[in-house]
This record gives sequence, C-alpha cells and structure tokens, in this order.
Amino acid sequence: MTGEREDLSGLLAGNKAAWDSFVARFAGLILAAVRRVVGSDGIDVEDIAQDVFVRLCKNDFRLLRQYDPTRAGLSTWLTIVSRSVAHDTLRRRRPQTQTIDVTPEAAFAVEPSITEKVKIPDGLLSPRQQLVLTMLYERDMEVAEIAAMLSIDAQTVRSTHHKAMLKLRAHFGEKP
Amino acid sequence: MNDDAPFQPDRALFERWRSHESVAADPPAELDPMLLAAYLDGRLDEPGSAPLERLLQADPAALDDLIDCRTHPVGPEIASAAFLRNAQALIPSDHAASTATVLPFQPRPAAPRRMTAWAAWGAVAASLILISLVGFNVGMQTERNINGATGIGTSIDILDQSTTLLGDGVG
Repeated sequence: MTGEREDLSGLLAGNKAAWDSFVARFAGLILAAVRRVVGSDGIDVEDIAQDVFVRLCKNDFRLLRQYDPTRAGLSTWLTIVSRSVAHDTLRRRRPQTQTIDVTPEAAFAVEPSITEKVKIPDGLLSPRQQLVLTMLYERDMEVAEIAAMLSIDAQTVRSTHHKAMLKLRAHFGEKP
Repeated sequence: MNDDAPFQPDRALFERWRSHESVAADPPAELDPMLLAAYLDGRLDEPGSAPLERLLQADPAALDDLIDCRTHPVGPEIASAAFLRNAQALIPSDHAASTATVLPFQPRPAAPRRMTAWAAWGAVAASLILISLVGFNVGMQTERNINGATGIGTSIDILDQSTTLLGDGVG
C-alpha cells in the first residue's frame, strides 16, 4: 500500500481527461481487489469493478470526495472501497434461504448455552486489548502475526495481553 | 503464541470472559473505508484506532478482511481496452458536454421581397417607353429599307428634306 498524495481537484471538477487518466491508472488495481474477494466464483469481476467506478463518480463524485489524502494513500483507499463493493455484491447475490436437504445435519444441533448471565462492564477491556485477545485465542494467531496486522511491535502485543489478563483476573476475582 | 502451554489459564479466562454478555449496548458503527485505509497505512495512533479495533473485534468478517488485506496485498491487473472504454465513458467528454445544450444552427428565412407601388408603375412606364422607341425605330428602319429599294421618298423627306431628327439626313 502506498502513501502517495493525490490531487483530485481536476477530477472532482468533472474534467474528462482527469477521469480518463484516473481510470487508466487504477482500473487494474480495482479489478485485482475485486477478484481477491470474489475469487473464481463465476461472477463477472469486470461488472463489479465497473460498479466501483459508477459509485465513485455518481452524485457528483460523492464517494470520491470522502477520500482524504492526508489520512491514507489513494491506492489503499480504493482497495478498501473495491473490496467493500465486492462484498456487497456477494451478499446481494447469495441465496437468502436454502432447502432443508442441503443444510448439514450439524446445523440443527442444539448446543447447551454456556452464557453466564453476568454483565461485564463495557469498558473493562480496551478495544485493542479485546482485539489482541480475540486474535490470540479465537484466531490462534502468533504474536508476530498480530503485531504485523496491527502495525505494532511484538512487545506491545505481549504487554497488551498481559494488561488485559490482569484486568480479567481482577474482575473475576482470580489470583494472578 | 508459540509456547501456548503457559497461556492455557489465560485462554480459559478469555473464554470465560467471552461467554459473558457484554453490557455494551451500542453496536459498532459501519466500517468507514477511510478509517480502515488510514489504519492499514499505519497513520492512526491507539486512541485513533480504538473505534476500528472495537469493530474488528466484534465483526469476524471485518477482521478477516483486514487480515486478508495485510497478508495478500494485491498488485494491479492488466485491464482490457473494452473495460477501460466503458469506465471512461461514465464521464461524458468535455466536447459533448459543451455542445449538448446548443441547438443546431438554422439559417433565418429570407424576408419576402416587396416591390413598392411606385416602382412597379415606373417599371411598367419604362417598359412601355422602351417598347415604343424600339417599335418606332424598327418601323423607321423598315420604311427606309423599302424606300431605298423603290426610290420613293418618305413622307418626312417630302415634308422637310433637311431634318435629321429621326433620319440619317440622306436625301
């Protein structure tokens, strides 16, 4: 992901040449981002990529005007937008119901609820602490992987985990 | 974590925490592409990241998306000419836009010519005079030719031999 600064003033003013240049420059990236989401699912990648361009320019470039060059690179932002449009398309095309015959048996299994009816204060763990714990214990990710995902160093991940555990032990009355 | 065994009590504690209902009433807001892009580009500090990390923690699909973005950065493909043409056509050309509201040129019809009454009557009078002069000259010429052939003088010759008003003075 690049951190390039972009001047979109000509484009946002409706300049045809600027739009053509923008399309020529980023069409390949948008196609690749869409393909990454939909895979080879028989869905026309070009149709979804075209929808990305439609959304970018409709209502007088309302979506494109939301891009802030001081906060992120244009390539990064376009990748996120393209993936979002692709996810939307997949959600729309996915069948809402399926017949009982194709539903796996396990889907009907009733598991005993293990939810304790004890309320936990919302602010007990910070969002980052919650995310680190989720990635560690639900996703079984390595500390180094989490550090890469969150753009922080591994020691910060360990420290975040340690502080979260201290809070949880204190909350549940366990001894450290 | 690589050495998972020492963290087993922590995992149990995490699962206990997970099994509880949170009193968090507000569901996380919709994922803002600008926020996620800034996060991916490493331009957010921890307080700035908090809303996004809260959403990522609560939304497995969003977390999957983040992990996929990080682990599989995409490089641009080659776009087909037809695709580029269609996308570029979403914005009409400047020329087409500038002429789209201009009506085709239609020449103003010429005003019908009107001849005034005095000019019409003048033309009639001039025509009559011209016809009279021509007729008179033709008549005189014819008479002269006949007289020249028979040797008989004209009535003008008889009346006044010296006149050159209409004739050529030959006598």
